[in-house]
Amino acid sequence: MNQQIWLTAYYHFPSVFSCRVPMSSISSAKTLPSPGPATIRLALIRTGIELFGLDHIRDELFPIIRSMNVKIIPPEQVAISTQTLKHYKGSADERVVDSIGYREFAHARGNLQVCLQISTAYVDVFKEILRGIGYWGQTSSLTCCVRVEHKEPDKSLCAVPLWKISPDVRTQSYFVEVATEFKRQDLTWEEIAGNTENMLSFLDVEIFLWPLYICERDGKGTLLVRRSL
Amino acid sequence: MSDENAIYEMSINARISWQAHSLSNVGSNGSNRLLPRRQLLSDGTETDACSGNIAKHYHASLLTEKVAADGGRICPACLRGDGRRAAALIALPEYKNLNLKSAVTECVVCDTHGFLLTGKKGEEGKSADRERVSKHTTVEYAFALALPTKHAESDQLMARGGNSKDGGQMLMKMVARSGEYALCVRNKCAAIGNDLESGQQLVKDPKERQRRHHYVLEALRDQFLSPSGAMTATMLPHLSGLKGAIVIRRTPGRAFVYSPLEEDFIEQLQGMSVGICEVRVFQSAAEFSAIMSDLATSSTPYTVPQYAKGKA
Repeated sequence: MNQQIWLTAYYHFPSVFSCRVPMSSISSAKTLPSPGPATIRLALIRTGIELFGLDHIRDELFPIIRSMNVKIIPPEQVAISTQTLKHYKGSADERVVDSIGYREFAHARGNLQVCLQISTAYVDVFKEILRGIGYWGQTSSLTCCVRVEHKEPDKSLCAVPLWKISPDVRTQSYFVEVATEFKRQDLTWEEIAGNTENMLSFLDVEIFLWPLYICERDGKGTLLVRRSL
Repeated sequence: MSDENAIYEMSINARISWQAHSLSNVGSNGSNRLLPRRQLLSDGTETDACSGNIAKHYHASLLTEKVAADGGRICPACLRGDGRRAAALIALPEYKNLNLKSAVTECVVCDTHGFLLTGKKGEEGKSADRERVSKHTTVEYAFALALPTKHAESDQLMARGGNSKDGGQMLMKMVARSGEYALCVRNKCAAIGNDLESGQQLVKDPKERQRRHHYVLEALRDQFLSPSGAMTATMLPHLSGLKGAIVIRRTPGRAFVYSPLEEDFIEQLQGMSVGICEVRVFQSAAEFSAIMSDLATSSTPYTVPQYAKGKA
């Protein structure tokens, strides 16, 4: 019988990254200090298709990816700044005009840790997929997997849904923001890959707390330092 | 050309020195001051930055010039520099039935830089639903970040023509920035003519894929050696140094990228790449140019075996 084990992948950020907070406007986008659980599951699917082909991912690995335990340990320090960018904006008469938009970008020191709980039978394939992830969310948010090891996550350093936090934990001054997670563990492939009317209907939005203490917040940006919950 | 020369993915990790430039700005404060771009780093220092958007735009423009001059395939939107690429064509009657294959086959720039035509629900009795059509970019740019200890800037007072009723000259402050910048670019060569997300070979002719690969690498080389961006009409940067490493991956997977803000970034890349990637180090602009020219002429884009056999 196959056992469940934890795999932890360490990701270096070679430059700034921007994982958009769900529901924040495209023209004024905030960033999370790390990708959320749904972004990680989608990156596993996307990279898996590239490395192993669509059929294998859809038929073999998707049922695992949609329901596996995913834990996220953010980098040790994260700095967030707002950047002004040139955007295209559609008008009512379908013309496109130049406009500006705002988007937050984060810079990190230390590695992001992505922890997956999987059956031992799938360790090799998930190691390869984890190593193959090259960006989170948008393609300019480059990342590089520096190693993957068998290691259980330190739960006090993981981002957690706010409702799971015990009332006696002091959460003041920690980073709190909404992130997305798959709506159900039995989602169908068609729900996530189909060209449906509402492309994001398979996602749930939850309030998460990151074990990142807000050290500074001023005109230059926000500086976050990792601290156990 | 043998498969030994095929590249799946490559990355350029470089420290590039620009003197007296204003390549990427956040806008102006009314009409009297141009504001540089700033990014807070994780150690709490604030540094100068140049966005990846402007670098990507410049690569697309260089690529367009090369393809057009060579009589290569290019769509009307890319030819006029429209950043929406294939998505800008949908309003034209002859592109009403635009699909992924036709968009990629007919335009090298759409194939390289990607595009997104969003899905749209049709109006009842008036129009049909439109399916989403998209291709990911093959060239990915990070922000260029100045090394905080190797960066300086000075205010320059410039005169410019004004539209005021007096018609006199107006004064404007611009910042000339100089420094050494950390920059990473990744190029997924295997995605040229292919859609790796849906597992489709879109351009079947290997010679055409090879030509496209060659254009992309030449444009990458040229953009490092002749910088461009904002304000270059009057503040063309002095390129005064270029060093770093090109990481080449010949099998499916990622070519490693590591922040050139770190002193030991070349050693880190060499250490990570043992047995997986090839690392070519350059210490000058001339060495970089030689490596890129060699890759442009002697390498080929990786062909996914299943696609070649038509099983995808």
